[in-house]
Amino acid sequence: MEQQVQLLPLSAGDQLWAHAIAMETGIQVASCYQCLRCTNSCPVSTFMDIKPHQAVRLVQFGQREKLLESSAVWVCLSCEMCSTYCPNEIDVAGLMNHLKNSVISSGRKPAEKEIALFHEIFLDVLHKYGRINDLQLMQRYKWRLLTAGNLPPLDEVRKDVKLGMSLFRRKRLRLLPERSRAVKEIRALLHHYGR
Amino acid sequence: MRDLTFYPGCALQSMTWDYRESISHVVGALGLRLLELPDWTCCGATAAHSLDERMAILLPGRNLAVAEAEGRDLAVACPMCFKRLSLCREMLRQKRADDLWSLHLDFSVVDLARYLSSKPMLQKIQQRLRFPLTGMKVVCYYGCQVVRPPKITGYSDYENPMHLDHLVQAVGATPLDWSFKGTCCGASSGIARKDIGLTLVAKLLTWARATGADAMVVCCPLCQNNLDLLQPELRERHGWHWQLPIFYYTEILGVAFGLQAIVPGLKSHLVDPQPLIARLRQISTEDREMIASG
Ligand code: SF4
Ligand code: SF4
Repeated sequence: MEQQVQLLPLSAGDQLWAHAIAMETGIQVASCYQCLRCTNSCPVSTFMDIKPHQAVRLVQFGQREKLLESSAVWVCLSCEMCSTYCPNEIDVAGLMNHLKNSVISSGRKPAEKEIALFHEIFLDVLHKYGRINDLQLMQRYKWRLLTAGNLPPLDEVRKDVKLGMSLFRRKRLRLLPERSRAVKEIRALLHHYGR
Repeated sequence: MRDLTFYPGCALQSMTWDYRESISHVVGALGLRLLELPDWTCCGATAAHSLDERMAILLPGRNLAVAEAEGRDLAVACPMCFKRLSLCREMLRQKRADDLWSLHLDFSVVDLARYLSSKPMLQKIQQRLRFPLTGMKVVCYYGCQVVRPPKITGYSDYENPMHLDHLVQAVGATPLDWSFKGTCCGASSGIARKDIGLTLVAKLLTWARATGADAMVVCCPLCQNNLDLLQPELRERHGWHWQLPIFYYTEILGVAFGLQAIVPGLKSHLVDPQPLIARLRQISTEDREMIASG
């Protein structure tokens, strides 16, 4: 079950990385003794290329590139099982999230581009209206996938349309997005912080 | 009874109006006043903190500032919003994030379900009972956001939360014990990685059924959608000849209070919960007649 993890050569910066993370987030990976409680409690570890306990280990080993390229950090659902059950109070979920942030802030391509795109579109809608409208979110997301050349299988489209219709009949898709009067204030805040 | 400020959140305002309707009718029946937070905006959900952690302070922070000016405790019905607002409040309280609003934080962020399951509220609920849901077996599903991490949410029973169980018990239904109360249903990546959503939802539904539940009771709009809307596809894939109604706890209360106004909301579920309710009503009237006839 345990897959071998190949280590990459380390630069000086990589070696200091665990320190930098501790300074920024308070997450102390050094106290991990690889008990696997995080991985065993994780509902999606089977979908991950690097399991939660391995991610902690790789931070100890300064393997920055490996982690920033992994799909696991995007697959993580932020459900906090790992952090809640770690006997050493290591915030594994916080670590996963910090890694996701680092992928974006360092301008790398996210390994799970659809998940990252979904988050991005979510923030676009939020930026525009101050609130999320499900129909807007879905339409924009599907459209962006399509224009990026991802043609979904016909069967998928059929299922989506069918679900969309039954939701529409049940008045669950609101055509007009609701706008918060505070949307300008939100934009100013985000702008101030460089988004 | 004290009034509370209410943060509905985007889901309740858009796709899950059924949850919102049932809340408003049920709290009305209990004599509670929820006053909507003026000009509230999205809490940022999973997207904000995933891409830029600073936004996960700015977005909830502004809402907290408005709430503080309102001067009442802030009740939140969506577990995702509850966690984002509570986490932000805690970060600001511990001065681990810039406080642009100079907040005093002299008010609480309250999870509505837990508020309704306090002892005095449970008593009120029992007094308001019209149609006891005797014979209805349910599993309560709390999802991942509302109880964890305990330091933020304040839930000490995060291993085995009970507040929804107490609520359904108060209206005469039987909550069954099961192992998946707090296991994530995968809703946050349900669109972009549907394979994950389908796997996690299939596991929860089959276990709920194996436990002997007639229905599942939830407190999260994202869980409800994920567990309800994926059922047609799962039935097709796995050849299931069964389905499981997914109720909000407020809908269970509404049914037990005999509130007709929540019926349109119930009708908007994909898995129709009404046959189950009709069956229960029949049983309970038969019971009553039996008792009456001695
Ligand atoms: S649960 Fe904590 S100590 Fe155990 S492997 Fe995971 S991070 Fe390490
Ligand atoms: S937070 Fe992420 S890594 Fe931790 S248990 Fe949940 S899905 Fe797994």
